[in-house]
Amino acid sequence: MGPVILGFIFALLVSGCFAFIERSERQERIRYFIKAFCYFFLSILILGWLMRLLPLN
Amino acid sequence: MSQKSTRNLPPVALLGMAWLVPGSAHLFLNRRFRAVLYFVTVGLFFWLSIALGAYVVIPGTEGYATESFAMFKFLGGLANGLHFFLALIFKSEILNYSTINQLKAVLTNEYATTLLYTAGIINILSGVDALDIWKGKKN
Repeated sequence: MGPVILGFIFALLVSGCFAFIERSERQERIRYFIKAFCYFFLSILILGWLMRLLPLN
Repeated sequence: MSQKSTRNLPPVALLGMAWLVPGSAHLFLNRRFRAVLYFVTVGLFFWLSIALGAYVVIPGTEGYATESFAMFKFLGGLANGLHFFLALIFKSEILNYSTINQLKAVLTNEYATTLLYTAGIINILSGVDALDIWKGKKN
């Protein structure tokens, strides 16, 4: 399983959990879920891309 | 589950239930989708972290005394409830590293350990969420 897919699953599940924990109304919950998912997944992509610049080898 | 029978359960028992089996308290409170979500999330994150080489800190084992914040790391693992105990029972099969240094040399060790604590925190938060539902603060 590739790191992008793992990151996608991570962002999806954590956003879902946080949406249920943080918000009580259905509409607010959906909005929070989409926002949190975008933040998580974009952060993973950007930080992952930036880490390619690090001298890890 | 009727509203009356869920109210009869003491909150400590509800929290204990939520901690031991992720999602069980939500199932008891008739929140099936949330129960499945928490069960899958905590279970997947915990076992994925083990597969990626997470360091499960256990008191009385090699390196426990020299590990910084060992107690907090142990509690972070313990927060996963039943999964943590299953990992302890089958540790000879799944935590098969001869030394701690060998385990820490695994490339994904740091990510895996962070994922392990994330699963624990989500499990604890799910317990708080269940308590809020039980109190009637949330639907």
